[in-house]
Amino acid sequence: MIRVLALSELATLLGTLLRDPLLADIWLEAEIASVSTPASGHWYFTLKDDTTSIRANCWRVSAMRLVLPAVGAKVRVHGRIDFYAARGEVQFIIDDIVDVGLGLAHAEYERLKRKYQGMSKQRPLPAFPRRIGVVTSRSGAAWHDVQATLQTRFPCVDVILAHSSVQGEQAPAELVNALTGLYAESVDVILVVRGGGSYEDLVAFNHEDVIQCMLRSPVPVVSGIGHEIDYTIADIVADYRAATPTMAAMAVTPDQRDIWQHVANLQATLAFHMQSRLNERTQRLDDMQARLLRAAPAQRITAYQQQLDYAALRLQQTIQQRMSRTQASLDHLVAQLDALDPHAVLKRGFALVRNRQGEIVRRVDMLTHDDTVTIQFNDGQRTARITEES
Amino acid sequence: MSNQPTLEEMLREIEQIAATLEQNTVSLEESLQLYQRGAQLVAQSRTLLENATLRIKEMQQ
Repeated sequence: MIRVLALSELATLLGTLLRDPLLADIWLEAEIASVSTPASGHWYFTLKDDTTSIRANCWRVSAMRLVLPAVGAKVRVHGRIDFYAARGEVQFIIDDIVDVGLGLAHAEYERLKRKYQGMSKQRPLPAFPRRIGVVTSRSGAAWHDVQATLQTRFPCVDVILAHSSVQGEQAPAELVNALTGLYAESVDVILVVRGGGSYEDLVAFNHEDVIQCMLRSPVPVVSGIGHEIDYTIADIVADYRAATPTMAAMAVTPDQRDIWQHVANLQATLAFHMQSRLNERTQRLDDMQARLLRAAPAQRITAYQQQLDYAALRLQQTIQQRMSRTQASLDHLVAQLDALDPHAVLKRGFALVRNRQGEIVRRVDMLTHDDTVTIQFNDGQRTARITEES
Repeated sequence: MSNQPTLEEMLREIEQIAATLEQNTVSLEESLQLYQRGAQLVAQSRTLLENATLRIKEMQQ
C-alpha cells in the first residue's frame, strides 16, 4: 500500500526519530563558522568542519552561564539534535561549550595576515576622482550604500560596477575577474566592498588569489568589507582600509558641501583681487591726472602771470615808496625855506626897516635925524621920518 | 564631454587666476579678462555641481 505523507506528518516522524537517546546527549567537535547574538539573548551558530556544516542554537538559559566563542574558534559543544519543522532543518541545541583552540581556518587566516602584513602600498587617493571602479555584488547592500554616498557627496563622477559574487565558492575567481577587468578601464581608484556578514561570508576576501590580484592593481584600491570589527586580508593589502562600504565611498570623494564653500571662497577672492587692481589703477590714474595738470601749459602760463603780477606790484610799491620819500624831503625843504622867508617873520608882527637906499637897517647908527625910512609890514609899507636927535 | 573641463580642472584654473590677479603683474585689460574667465568658471562649477547625477555603468565581463 502506497502512503502519502503530509509535510507535517514527515516533520512529526523525523522529530520522533531524532529524539533517539543516542542523539540527545552528545559532544560535537567543530569550528564556529558564524555567530549571531540577537537581543533575545539566544545564540545562533553555524558549526562546520571540512565537509559538513550544521546550524546550532544555544538558548538564553544556557548562554547566560557560557562564554561566547569567537568565529573561527574550534570548540567542543554538548547538546542534543532537534528538528526545526518550520524550516525543515536539523539543528543542534547546545547546552555547553568548550574551546579547544583556534580552528584551522583561523590558523590559515593568521598565516596570511602575517604574510601580507605591511604590503599595502598606501598610495594617496585621488582628491577629485573622475572614474571610480567598484567591485561588489550588484544586488548587495554595499553597492546601494556606495551609490547613495557618491550621489550625496560627489555626484560628478563616472562609476563602473564590476559585478562579482562576494561569497561562496566561485567568489574568489569572480573577484579576480572583476578586478582584472577594472584594471583595463582606466579608473582612478577601485573600491572593493561588501556588506557585513559572518566570518565565513567574508572568506573570499582572505583568498590568496584575490589578495595577489589586488596587489597588482595599477591604481589605489580601497577596501570596505563588512563592519568596523571585520578585518580581512584584503583590508591589509588595500592602499586604504575603510571600515564599511559607505566609508570607502567617502574616502575617495570630496564632500560637495566643501566644494561649494571652496567655490564661494574662490569667487570672493577673485572679486577682492579684481577690486584691488581696479582701486590701484584708479589711484594711479588720479595721481597721473594731478601730475598732468601741474605740467599743463595753461597752468604754467597762470604761474608766470602770477609771477608777473607780483613783480609789477613790487615795482609799483617801490616807486611809490621812493616818490613819497622824495615828497617828504621836498616838504622838509619847503618848510626850511619858509622859515627863512622874511615875510614869515613879518607875519609874526616884526617889521623891516629900509633906508632911502633900500638897505635893511640893522643898526641904530645907520640912521640920523630926519632920515626917511620905509617900514615894511606884512601887508604893506609905510614911510616914516626919524624925529629924534641922535 | 571630452572637451568639457572637469570640476577639478576648473577649480585649479580659478585658483591660478586668483593667484595671477593677486600678483598684479598683468595689465588692467588682462586682469579684466582673467576676472571674467574666473567668474565664468565659478558659474560653470556651480552648474556642474547643481546638475550632477552619478553616471553608472556596469562593466561587461
